[in-house]
Amino acid sequence: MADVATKPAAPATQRAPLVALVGHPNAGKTSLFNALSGARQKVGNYPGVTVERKTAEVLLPSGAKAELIDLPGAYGLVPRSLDETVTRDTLLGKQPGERLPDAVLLVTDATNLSAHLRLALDVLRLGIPAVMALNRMDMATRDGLVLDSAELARQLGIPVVETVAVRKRGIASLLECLEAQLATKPAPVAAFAPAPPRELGREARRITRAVTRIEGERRRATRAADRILLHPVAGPIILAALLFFMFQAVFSWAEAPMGWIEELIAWLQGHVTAWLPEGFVRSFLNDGILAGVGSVIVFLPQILILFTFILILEGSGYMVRAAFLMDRLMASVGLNGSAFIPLLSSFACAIPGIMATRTIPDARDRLTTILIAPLMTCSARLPVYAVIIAAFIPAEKLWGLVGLQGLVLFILYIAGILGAMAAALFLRRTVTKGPKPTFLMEMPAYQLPVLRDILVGLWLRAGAFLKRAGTIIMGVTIALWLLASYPAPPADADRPAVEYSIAGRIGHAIEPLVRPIGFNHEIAMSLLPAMAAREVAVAALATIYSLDADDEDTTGLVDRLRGSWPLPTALAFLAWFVFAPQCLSTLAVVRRETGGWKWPLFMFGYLMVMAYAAAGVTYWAAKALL
Amino acid sequence: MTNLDSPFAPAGPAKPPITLDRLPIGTPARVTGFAALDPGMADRLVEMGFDEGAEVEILHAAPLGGDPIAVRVDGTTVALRVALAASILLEDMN
Repeated sequence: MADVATKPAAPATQRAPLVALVGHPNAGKTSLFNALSGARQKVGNYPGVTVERKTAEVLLPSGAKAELIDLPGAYGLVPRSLDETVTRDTLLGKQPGERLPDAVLLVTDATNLSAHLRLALDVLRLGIPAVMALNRMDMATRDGLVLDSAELARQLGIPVVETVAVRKRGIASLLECLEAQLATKPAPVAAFAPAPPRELGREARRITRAVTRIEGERRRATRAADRILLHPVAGPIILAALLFFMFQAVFSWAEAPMGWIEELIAWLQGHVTAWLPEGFVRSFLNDGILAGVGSVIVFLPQILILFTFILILEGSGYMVRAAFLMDRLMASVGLNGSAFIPLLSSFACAIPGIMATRTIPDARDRLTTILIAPLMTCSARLPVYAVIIAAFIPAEKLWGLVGLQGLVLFILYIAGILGAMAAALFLRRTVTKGPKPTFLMEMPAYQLPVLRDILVGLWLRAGAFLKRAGTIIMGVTIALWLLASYPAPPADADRPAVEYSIAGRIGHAIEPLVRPIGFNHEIAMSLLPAMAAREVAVAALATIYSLDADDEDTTGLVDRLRGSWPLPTALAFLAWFVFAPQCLSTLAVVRRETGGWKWPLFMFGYLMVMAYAAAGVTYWAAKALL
Repeated sequence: MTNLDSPFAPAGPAKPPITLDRLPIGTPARVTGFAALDPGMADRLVEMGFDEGAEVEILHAAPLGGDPIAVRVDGTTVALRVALAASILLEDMN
């Protein structure tokens, strides 16, 4: 054993063979990957690009291990997106940091064989040992389609296994064939050039004709469902109802668990207070770590519910239909239907929304969507809106019908949407200018979402959210806590401690800048702490007004604000929060997703300008009119 | 759907090719090629199934102006904008 370390990793590089899953975006690749690997997946990024890299270790029938990699969905080997570039480069052994796969697992949809064979035929020309999974056999049978998979295997010269990934059918024989193929010698071609798509199409159709025994009636159930779900009148109504239900669920179902999380944090803080003497450590634990982590975890219930809905919509095939129905509206501001769901998610929190933009194929469309996502009114703004509205907007009914407070809240949401549309129009003509965006998507057949796929997806996405937002927020909160606590106030301090700190000094410095838009000293002081998360503005204001900083009971703060802010200032403050990039976590996620500081800084700048202008206009208009 | 089901009615000696954007809903036709399209986009359309000889039929048009459209291409369904559909040339099924 001792000499293993001295040998420079010669036999130790006997790594498990690499098997790559290759297929169209709608071939059922993810389901097959989940069926083969369960939740033992490693998700990361390819270096330098925001394309998800998913791998898992699988056990072959002999007991040997293989590494499975789920390559991004591709229609061909001439790449037209980042995803397809990664897939092509990996199959050519040119992807940095990735070894050449020892075998490929071609995933094809039996109900749409000729389209999927095109890609398969080109991949086979690479000379890498291959196995084909003829997936969705259950749906083919339901349509009355009969295929001769033995003949297909003969035509292609590789093993073909009929599978139903969602029900784990055919998995065992798939693994057997894979192991047998891994034992064969690869015959990689010297110089590979993708075949012309038309030739591939001709060959794919010829083979499909040769292996089709009974045609069947394709996609009967999907056609019937689409006649209702894509109906010009019923379709949008159903979509609107679905979204309404989704939002009700995100906000009302999450209420109770959010309460529990808040109670848990308060309980922990109480124990820290009881056990530790007042001082640095106690303040650090309570106001730095617990308060900071709490302010992220509290959104987890909403995000889990939101992701569940999105995964169901994706898994069922409805997501593309929603994009289809919304494309016209999105096109009017230079976007694409696939931007719709990420923007919708941003109403809960911009972070999952920005993470969801990975499904947008075009890089410019995606960047534009990321840049406007923070303008959707996220739920962290609600506590801020609630306090200001309660303090300044009378609880009256307009014309005896519409509650004035609710109306103001509605206007704030609409202002965000209109601002986003204006921003998209502007960005599309300037910084994200490019060829006219288009919309070209395959509409998969509907299928029942699979619980396993939803659970795996939820596990991976919630984990990614917690890791990204959690680590960032933790750092940000600690930094802001330090800034707001040090230096400590002098012994004869007559003002709140925060006024003497670095954050206080920064607040003093920005005060002259925000005076013209009607902001007072206290608001200037609260802006920096609110960078951790918008809702922190409420607690920060309470601290600055020397109130007990208790999030739960804001009546004291409401009374205090009512007495000390003029109405134009309050309205300007609301307008500011519609646009201001008051969230460092969002900026950090944008940095991750765009691969640099350029775009988050741009986003910060343009949103600041919008916020300043909106608050200023609101302030001066209100002053003149009221 | 009144008298639109015959877009291929003889219109003189040389029938002008019809494009996918002008195909009435529910009428099958055959793809013959592409007009005024950059080669990359044409290849992508071929990969999505709009190959010469493929059978197409418009299944749905989106609300608010009928753009984009959902098209059956042989066995699959593809959604695309009308502007792109205008570069796909078709011929009568027979």
